[in-house]
Amino acid sequence: MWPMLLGLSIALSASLAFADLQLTLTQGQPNAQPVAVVPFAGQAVASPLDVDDTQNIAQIIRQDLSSTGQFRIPPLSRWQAWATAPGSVPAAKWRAKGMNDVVWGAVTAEGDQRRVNFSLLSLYQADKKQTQPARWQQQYTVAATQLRALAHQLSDIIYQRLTGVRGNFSTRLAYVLVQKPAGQSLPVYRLQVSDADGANAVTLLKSWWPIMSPAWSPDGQSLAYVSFEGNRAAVYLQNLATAKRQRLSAAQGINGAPAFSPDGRQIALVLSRTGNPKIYLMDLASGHLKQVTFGRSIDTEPAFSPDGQQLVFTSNRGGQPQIYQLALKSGQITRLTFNGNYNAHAQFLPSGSGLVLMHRGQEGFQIAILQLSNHHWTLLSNTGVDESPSVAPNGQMIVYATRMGARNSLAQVALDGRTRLRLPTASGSVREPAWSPFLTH
Amino acid sequence: MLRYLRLKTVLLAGLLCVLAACAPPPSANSIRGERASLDAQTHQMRPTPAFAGTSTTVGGQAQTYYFDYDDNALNAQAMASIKAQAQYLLANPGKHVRLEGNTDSRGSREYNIALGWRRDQAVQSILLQEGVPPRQIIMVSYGKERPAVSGDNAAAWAKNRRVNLIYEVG
Repeated sequence: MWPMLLGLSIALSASLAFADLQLTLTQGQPNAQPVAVVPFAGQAVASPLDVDDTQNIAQIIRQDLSSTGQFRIPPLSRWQAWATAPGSVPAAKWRAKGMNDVVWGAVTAEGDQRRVNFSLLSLYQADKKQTQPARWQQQYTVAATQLRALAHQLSDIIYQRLTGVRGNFSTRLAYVLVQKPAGQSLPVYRLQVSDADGANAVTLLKSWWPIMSPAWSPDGQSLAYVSFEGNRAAVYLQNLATAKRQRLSAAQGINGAPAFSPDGRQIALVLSRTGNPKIYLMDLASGHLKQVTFGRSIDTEPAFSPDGQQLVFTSNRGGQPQIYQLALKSGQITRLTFNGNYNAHAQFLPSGSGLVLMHRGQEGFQIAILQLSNHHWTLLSNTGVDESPSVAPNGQMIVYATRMGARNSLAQVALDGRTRLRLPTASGSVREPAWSPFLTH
Repeated sequence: MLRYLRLKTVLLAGLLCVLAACAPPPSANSIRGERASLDAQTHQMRPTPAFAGTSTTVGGQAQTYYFDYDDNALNAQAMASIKAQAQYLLANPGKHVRLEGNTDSRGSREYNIALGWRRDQAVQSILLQEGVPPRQIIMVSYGKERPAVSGDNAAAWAKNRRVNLIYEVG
């Protein structure tokens, strides 16, 4: 496998430079919790091991936790004086520095493995009362090349212990990157997958034709997408580990908007075989197709509810694009959106209690949340050219496509609107982000 | 008051692996990148760049028909041109056309695929009315994915709301 991967990689690097996504926090919460992250022993500057920043566990933890906007984390160098024996520092000293929690650890080499010791010291309860300091520690052994992945897992652990909510740091983003190489008249399209922070981008498909609508399988192993190779629309399913793909649908006309059912057994998609764009369910094992919406309208952008019982979709059956809900057992269809005259691209929140969608308001296209119980709307973004929202699996963050200058790029916003991040690219346009499910167990 | 955190994080690791030492995430979640086989195939079949005008008398050449916002109506010049293409297709049963529907840059991507499709249908219906067999007409919609002109202004939008009619070779 390795020689093959090497060959592919070299072939790619000889062609285009791909683009990094750089995660940048632009707005955080006013009551962010102060956490001290101490440089890990064995990873300090000029240490014999792992001087590369990309594997610096403390650095990665600081970036991860800061990106939620919920934590205020001083630079690692603040704790340099205590870095040799952070476990011996009295709690009173950390409290005097205003810290609620402290993270430290050590990395030692065992051949090409690394042993990592990790400690999390909690000094305050949630209600800010002083408590007996509680220290949680763990030891891991991983390959030297896996330190970054381990750092994200440690961020997940810290986040869960401090907030009670599962972290997103070990999840991934899929997206479409479009670049116009110098001297070419035609753009090149790439389907890419990166870590949730934008690092480690891998190209799954490179094409002269557009790629659209990446959709994660619930087990995180595959992506469905639309490709226009050879000037024909088709829906493909590609396995991430093997790069093998199958063509799920190549009917005449539209093959679009794939979406997995929560049990991974079905894909909803859009076909135009009746002469109108309609929603179908395809059983993945048998390939059997079942039409689930009817009539002469445009129906598109299906998305399953977390319990698999409902589909929301975009339809102009009432004249303009609005969001409708289909109860799969009964076939009953209910209109959900009555605010504004263009609502599209709805996705359920993981709790099932609401939708994130693309809404045209006074300022143009914005990302909005609609609570289903009380029809309460929250507008989350405001550039007027925002589209393609996708929710993180812990339900706390939304990634979407927007424009910065002439190019599309990604942005993130917390569900309460209080934390905002940008993910600009070095070159090209990035669009259609899709947040992966949880990938670690 | 809201406090703005300026935390710039420069992540160097977004590089594709060039050396074996720079490994992908843990093997349980590894990703195999870059379908290399696709490159050779796609290179031979590159899409043709954008497009010609609207000829009312000459059949057999690529055409572009333009539309108003949120509309599928064809103007008289477009109708005459489409009829000329129909005559050509009737006279040349071995030829076929690909209709490519497009929209301007506003709105959701998949909804725009459907709107582009409606524009294809408008052109198709004229060809069918003229007696062209359906097998000589192929339809694809690119929605807003392949604009002819970039820009977020009325002039660019007008140039992108179009159907390209292309004679496919082979």
